[in-house]
Amino acid sequence: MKSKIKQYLFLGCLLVVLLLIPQFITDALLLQYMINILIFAYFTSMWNIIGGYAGQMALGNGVFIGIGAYVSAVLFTYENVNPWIGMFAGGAVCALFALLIGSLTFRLSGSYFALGTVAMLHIIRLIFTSNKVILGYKTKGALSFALPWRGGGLLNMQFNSNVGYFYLLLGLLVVGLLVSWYIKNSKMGYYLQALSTNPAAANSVGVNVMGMKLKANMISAFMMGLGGTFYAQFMNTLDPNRVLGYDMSVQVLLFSIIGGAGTLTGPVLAAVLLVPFQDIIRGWVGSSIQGLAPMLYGIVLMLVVYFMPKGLWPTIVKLYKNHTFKKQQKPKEGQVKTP
Amino acid sequence: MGIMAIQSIIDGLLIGGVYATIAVGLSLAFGVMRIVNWAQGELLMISMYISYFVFNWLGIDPYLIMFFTAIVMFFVGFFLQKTVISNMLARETAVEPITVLLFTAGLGIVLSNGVLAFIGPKYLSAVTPYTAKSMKVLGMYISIPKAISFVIALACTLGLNFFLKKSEVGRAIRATSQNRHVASLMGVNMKQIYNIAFGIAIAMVGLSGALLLPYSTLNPDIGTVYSFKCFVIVILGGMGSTMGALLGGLLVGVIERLGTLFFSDSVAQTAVFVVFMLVLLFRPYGLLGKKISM
Repeated sequence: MKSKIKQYLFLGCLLVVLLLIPQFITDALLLQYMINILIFAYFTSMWNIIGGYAGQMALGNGVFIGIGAYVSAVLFTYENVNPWIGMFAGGAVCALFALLIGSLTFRLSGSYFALGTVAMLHIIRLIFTSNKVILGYKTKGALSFALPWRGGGLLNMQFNSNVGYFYLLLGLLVVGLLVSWYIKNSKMGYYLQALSTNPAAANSVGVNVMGMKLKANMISAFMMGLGGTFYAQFMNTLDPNRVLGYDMSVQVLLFSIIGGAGTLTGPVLAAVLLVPFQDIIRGWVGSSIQGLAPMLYGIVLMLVVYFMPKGLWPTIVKLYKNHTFKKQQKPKEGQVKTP
Repeated sequence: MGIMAIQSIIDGLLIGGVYATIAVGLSLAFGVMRIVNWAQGELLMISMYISYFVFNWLGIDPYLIMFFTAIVMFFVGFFLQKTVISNMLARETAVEPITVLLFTAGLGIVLSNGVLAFIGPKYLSAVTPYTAKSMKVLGMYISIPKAISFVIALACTLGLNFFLKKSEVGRAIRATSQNRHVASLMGVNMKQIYNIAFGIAIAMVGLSGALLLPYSTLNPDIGTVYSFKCFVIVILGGMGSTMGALLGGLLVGVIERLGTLFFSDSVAQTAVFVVFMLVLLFRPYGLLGKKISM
């Protein structure tokens, strides 16, 4: 009980510190780096619902960011729909796609689902980049899609400075983490954990494996779609090869796997550690050398998968536990302490 | 119209034969070790670059470079399996380890971005003596490099099939893919078989890299394009089936060419993925695949 209060206190302090950041850091660029961290921490945590909790390698699910972004951006531009409403439309479309791909591939083994999501990513990207008009709306094909500036601060998710975006995306991340935490500790979370460890055993004790996987995939897709809207409003322009691209998808997955798939903290930790990495490299060697940052990401991924397959966070927790356990055992001789 | 369609079908078959050779390695690795090699396309890209540089520096005929890249890539595959993947397989309990998929995905990212960073995003193409040559058969133009590559690719795929069916090592590989425990009880050195199988799988990729060189451009992103084509082919044909990969490769080649003829290149690409979805829906274990127990 005491440790729980400590935890809440710690989280409270962390939140206060985060809320105060824009008061001390006024450099727009630095703030943008932090916003990048917040966005990716959100996306990777949401991917973690299907990729971590449910243990399904949704390699192409980053496409939902793009779908969510495009749906709300198009509605915002041509139909004047407020992004706070548009984001639910985007999320719903994503959930539908997730249902479709899941019901096609979940009957088969894991790699089929991975392939199915990637096929979906490519179909959607090709459709977007090769058609200038989709469903009657001008989406500009392979060119980037610019959102109109309407201002209005929180109402239109369009702020004059990065401070506004910082608070907006911090809010989003907090909501995302609450959802993630709720799922992890709910009945569904335990079902997911069971089916990701041993689907046959989970099935035999009455877990609806197919239904649970579909549900997790849809929730994850919906949340990623929501985030897409925020991403679109923050970026102001959408590059289809980026938001619907394979690299984005891989990046989102990467942070989750490196940080520790299936943990609440891991993905956020990895985003905090690795997102600035890319910005630093870009500032350091310039954009003249493309591919250097993704290459290093790839190396980190290979090393983590090989040396700590569970990811960074579980490894840290294990080391910490071992450490405190030894400490507890040492001091008094002849006295047996149960951990 | 009719002659154009036939022309496209022939073109599709010629290129599909090479697709099959790339995909057959993927199929073999899945069939034997149940691993999905996500870096297949990127390894192809690397072997294309190797053949390109060998061709440019030494001016050797690309169809001779084929032997060189095949041998180099065999050892790449062999040692990748021996030093890294085997350890990952050993500690995994799942039949179809997802960590290997992730590891090879990481390898793919490293390879494509490494080439992007150190060689550059420029499109390269090798000008070989055959590059633009074609011959006229029954009123249709057939590109000579595509025809030669097709014949070699077909011979290699059929050769691999024969090797798996008839040779001692091939029989051991098939036995291991059917039941690894029983095979090892029968005296098959499972680890060594895995090394050889993965080596062969990657050697086929190396060979295809050289075969593609005379008529296709290369850039760092080309790997992803081929990766997904391979997956579609393997799933279309049935994971683990050599002849299935051949059939799938030819089909995908033809679908692509016909799609490009009647619609556009992007429609053709989309069509390939739609076919993939349809196969998942109606015949999830592929045209020639058998349902494998998980």
